Amino acid sequence: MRLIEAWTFGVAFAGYAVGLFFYVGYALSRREMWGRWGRRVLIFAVGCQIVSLVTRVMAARTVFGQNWYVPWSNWFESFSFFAFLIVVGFLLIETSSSLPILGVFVVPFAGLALLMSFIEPLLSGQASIVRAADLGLLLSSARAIPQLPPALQSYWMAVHVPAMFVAYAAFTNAFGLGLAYLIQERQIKSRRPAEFIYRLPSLEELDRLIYKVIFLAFPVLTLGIILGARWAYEAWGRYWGWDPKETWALITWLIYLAYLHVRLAGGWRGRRTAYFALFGFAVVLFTYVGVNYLSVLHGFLSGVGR
Amino acid sequence: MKKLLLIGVSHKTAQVERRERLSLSEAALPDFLGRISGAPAVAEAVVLSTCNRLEVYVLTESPSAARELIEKELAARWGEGAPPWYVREDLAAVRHLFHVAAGLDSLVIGEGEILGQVKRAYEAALGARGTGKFTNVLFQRALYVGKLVRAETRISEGATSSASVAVSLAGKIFGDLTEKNILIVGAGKMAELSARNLLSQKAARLTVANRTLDKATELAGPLGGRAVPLEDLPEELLVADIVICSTGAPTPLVRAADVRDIMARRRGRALFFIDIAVPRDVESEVNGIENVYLYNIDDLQAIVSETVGRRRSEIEKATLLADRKAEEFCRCCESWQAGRPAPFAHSDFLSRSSVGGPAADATFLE
Repeated sequence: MRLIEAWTFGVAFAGYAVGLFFYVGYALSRREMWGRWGRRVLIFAVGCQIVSLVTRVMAARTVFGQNWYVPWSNWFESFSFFAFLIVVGFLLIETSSSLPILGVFVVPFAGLALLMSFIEPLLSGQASIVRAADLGLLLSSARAIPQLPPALQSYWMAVHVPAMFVAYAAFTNAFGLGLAYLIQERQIKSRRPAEFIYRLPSLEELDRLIYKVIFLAFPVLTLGIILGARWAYEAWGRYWGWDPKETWALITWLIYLAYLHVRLAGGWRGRRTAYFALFGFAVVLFTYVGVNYLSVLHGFLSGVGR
Repeated sequence: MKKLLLIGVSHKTAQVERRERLSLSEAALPDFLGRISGAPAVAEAVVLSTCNRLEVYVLTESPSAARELIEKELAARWGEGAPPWYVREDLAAVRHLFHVAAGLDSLVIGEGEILGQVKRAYEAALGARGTGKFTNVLFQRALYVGKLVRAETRISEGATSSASVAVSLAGKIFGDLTEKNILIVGAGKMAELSARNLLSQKAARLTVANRTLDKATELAGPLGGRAVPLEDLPEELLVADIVICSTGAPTPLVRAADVRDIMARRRGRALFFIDIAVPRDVESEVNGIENVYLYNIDDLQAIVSETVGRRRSEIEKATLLADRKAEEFCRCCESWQAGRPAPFAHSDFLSRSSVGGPAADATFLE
């Protein structure tokens, strides 16, 4: 079981890299074929990672007898699940917009998230890389199936965290699109646009896509926060306690609320809203990773809380 | 042994004033074609007539008789003197046709129109039963090579006129142009050209603003647009998406301060100024305003010359490819005439790309 889990994960990881390679090839060669292959490879990799996640749960259940086991509790699991959702989000966007070129702007972040998933032992000082062989050790220690802390053995864990992650992954996509928008905008504004602007979608299209992604992700984020509050009530006896994670989740929520507000009511379009998407993502990153070092209650990734 | 013979006059050998006399109207073409392909010396014939060239391709058993016939036909249309024609045979003729189809012999290198013209010339000859086994294969192959060269090289990449650059930029700002409003300020010739170019992209509503309303009506009417006096410019700028300015005004009509006010009321909708007037109609500071894009005539021309330069650097590669395909064609024809038909080499391009489609290469020798 562990073997299937490890192998499918490896294949998925390689698949994301190969998918990105195809998208870059598509951007450079202008051959539709590359874009189609990038998509196929990503779908395959996503399938592999689903198998990997399922087998991981099954392994944890049989080996540790953990009935509430969900594969997004520690550093490694959380980042690789995040990468998985980024790619799923991208595939949805690509399907609805048929713009494979966007892969160049989004898929690298999935790759980064996957790389991030391995480095926890380095950060916590449990491992260091001196020899090449240490890399394998690092991987296996990062990928070990954790004992779920009692605080996380709850069905809320199975709904609250995925809701937050879906929203965060969508915001990552919006971030990638925002980058594409700003590059395209700057090129056209320069009056001497490089040739590649004809490869990128139009400003209006990108602007609308960013809006759509945030518009759809915002209710999911809202739901995630509400579920989290409900869980907090059951676990800690209060809905809201201004724990840093809670505070920052609220800040994230307010930023995207502000985005939707200025766009819908303020008539903002274009560059400023693209910056909003970038800024919002920076806050998401802080809420996701940075806050773990501040929050005792939510310090599951950093070890502060344990 | 039959020979392929090409006799033609093109923009490379004759000025437009003289070329005009040769060019065949669509109505005159069947007659001309009939006279050539009906001659006993000619086995198969295709006539390619565009505004830049008149070329006659014939397959013949007796080249000298065919040549005499075609030269007589051309000279009759040309008037006094002998037209500055060129004559090519066999491989050289095939090579020439492939170059023409690839846009390598065009006035604007790599232009795409010629491919359609070659296709129509072939279809006209086919319809008149002037073609045969050889010219059928030859012209279908030429169309394929034309597509191949454009797909494999960057010979036809980018826009090569100010108007088409403006249109493609508009596409990169707005995406879909069908719902956009075009405002033309000044009813000059250049404005009309750009407007026609945009309208061919099905941009929705056209408005012409001009100092004298009559002239505005004159331009707007045939294009299905609306004419307004120049005083309405501020209100029109509120609804316009693409603004083409070409007045002869000595000072800028569109000031940055005004545009700033207008943008505040447009709720962030982008505004694209194309200023082709000299002296300029739009203050250059306008480009600094958010969601406003300004290109003047120099910007557009700089992009055009960049494109042309890029295409030029691809000529060598494209020529090589067309030549290789011509040689391959002739080799196949030889084997074909020797009774050992060899198929054309399938280019790797078709298996890798969706551009040509598998039909282009498949069945020449069936």
